[in-house]
Amino acid sequence: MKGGARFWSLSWPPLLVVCLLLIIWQVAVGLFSIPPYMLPSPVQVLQALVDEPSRLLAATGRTAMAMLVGFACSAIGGIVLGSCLTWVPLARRGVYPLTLILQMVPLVAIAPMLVVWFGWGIPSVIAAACIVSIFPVIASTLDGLQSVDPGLRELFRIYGAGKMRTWWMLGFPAALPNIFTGLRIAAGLAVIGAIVGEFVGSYGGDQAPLGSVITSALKQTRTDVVFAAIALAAALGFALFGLVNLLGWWLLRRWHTSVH
Amino acid sequence: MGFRCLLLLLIAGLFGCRSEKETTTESTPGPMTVQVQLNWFPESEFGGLYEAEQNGWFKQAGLQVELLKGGPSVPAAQMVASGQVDFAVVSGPQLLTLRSQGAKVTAIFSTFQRNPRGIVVHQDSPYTSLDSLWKSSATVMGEDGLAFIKWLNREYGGQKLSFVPYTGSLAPFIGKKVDAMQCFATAEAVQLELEGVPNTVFLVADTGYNPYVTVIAVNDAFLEKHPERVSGFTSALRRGWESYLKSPAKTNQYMHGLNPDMTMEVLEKSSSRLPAFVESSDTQQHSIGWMTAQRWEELQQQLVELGQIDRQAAGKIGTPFLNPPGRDESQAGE
Repeated sequence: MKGGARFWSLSWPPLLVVCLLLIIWQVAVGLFSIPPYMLPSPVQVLQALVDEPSRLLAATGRTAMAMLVGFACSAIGGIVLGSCLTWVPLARRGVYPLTLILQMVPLVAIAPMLVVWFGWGIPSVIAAACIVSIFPVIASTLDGLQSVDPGLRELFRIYGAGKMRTWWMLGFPAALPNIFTGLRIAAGLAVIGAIVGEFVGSYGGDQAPLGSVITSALKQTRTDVVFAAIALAAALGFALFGLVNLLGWWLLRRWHTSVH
Repeated sequence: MGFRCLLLLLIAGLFGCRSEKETTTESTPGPMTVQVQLNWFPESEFGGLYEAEQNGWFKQAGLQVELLKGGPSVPAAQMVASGQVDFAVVSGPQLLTLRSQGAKVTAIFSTFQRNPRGIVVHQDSPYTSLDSLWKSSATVMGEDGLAFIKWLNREYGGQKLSFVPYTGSLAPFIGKKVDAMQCFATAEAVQLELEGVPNTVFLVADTGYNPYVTVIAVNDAFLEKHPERVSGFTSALRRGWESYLKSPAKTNQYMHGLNPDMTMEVLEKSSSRLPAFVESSDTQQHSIGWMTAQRWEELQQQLVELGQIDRQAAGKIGTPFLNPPGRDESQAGE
């Protein structure tokens, strides 16, 4: 199947479901006369996007920047930490359970502290995105590296390959499918982390990212703007997820069954 | 038909269908349970409500009142508009904005006659007025979506200012991480003073923006169904405020228990500052909580000019308030 046809065959079922849900939503709002401050219709949300495109797009750009940098930090940090933990069994037993804290501590509770440590603006938001999304990368890297075929590992040892060489030529490629599973989960979490970080740690006014737009619009009972900002945040999440999938496909396309 | 019923059930479930509770409370003897959603943590701004509740004056009016704590992320205005709660503490601008969107909510009591909202700076700050602050590139901790910030932006510029969110913590201001923050002259400014942080408050009211900033709003469906209960509520609340302003100690103690971050010292000092904002010639002539059509119309005009309310949608607002029973009952409703 050619690329375009394959893309279409994969895309139409979710697109159809989205269209159906939007139609049901629009009809329900009209049928039950739901006021816009409770639930705006999809048309009203679209109108909010059309009314203030430059403000919302600029906000999306700021959130995208924080999300991408936060995700990159968690991807690199997670792979490095996961690899280090595989090499040093004692560290794995001592440190790995502690990394769970990153997953368990509610971000809303520590977000104000991030502001104290990093100040307002993009550094706090990047930190929030990274903290929330790093654990799946650590866990998946660790799982992937530990699942390498012992026979192949033994082969590398017999040929005198060092730790780094074995990691680069055997462990890392073998762990890639697992790592990409972790990265896909991290992609969605990075958006959530960035938005929550922005609730408490970002500038408002002309420098507002999506999180600030949401809190500001809530205060003004502009629910249509809230939903428009949420839609843009979701679009960012989809875009990052797509990017990770594309990268995964490109790296694994020649040898792994998961991309065929 | 089945599909329509299913949708109705889903929406009722999502947004809270209150009809069953109302029917139950109406048919059973004894006080009717109502909920009041506060828009912030317990503090002296709600003194009259807690005073009336603690002294059983709501019960005498046939109401079992539950006061629900608020906070920065509690959408009190939307909750009363949707009928999730019967009453809520909201701001006048929020109430008008909601009414312009078709919401059925009415203000029945204004806690403040003079807007205590202001911008606080350190006493040794280089900013000596709102004008000098707003024309600078200072960092202000405040909710920039609020109408009064838009008002100040319009009056003084504000293009170079940076806004950071206000989540209720004074630490960034005390640590001078920000140059200024939004405040109530009766709350945050007092807390700062007692923390040993000398400060200066620039009142927004002095710039010509003086809305009824804290009003008790009722859901119109409740008001239409139980007008006598609402009237009883406002009478009890008025009594609560009159009593609280005279001797706030006991209720302050109670509120301190609910919100230990508000020390007794802060509550005492804060309540001593309230009369300057709660009382006015209107309250002397009528009663505490009194509102005038003129001031609501002025606010509506200001919000339209600020772009907070669409000019066409402003036509939907109608009469947004119903006065509490005054000393001269014939003047109620003005």
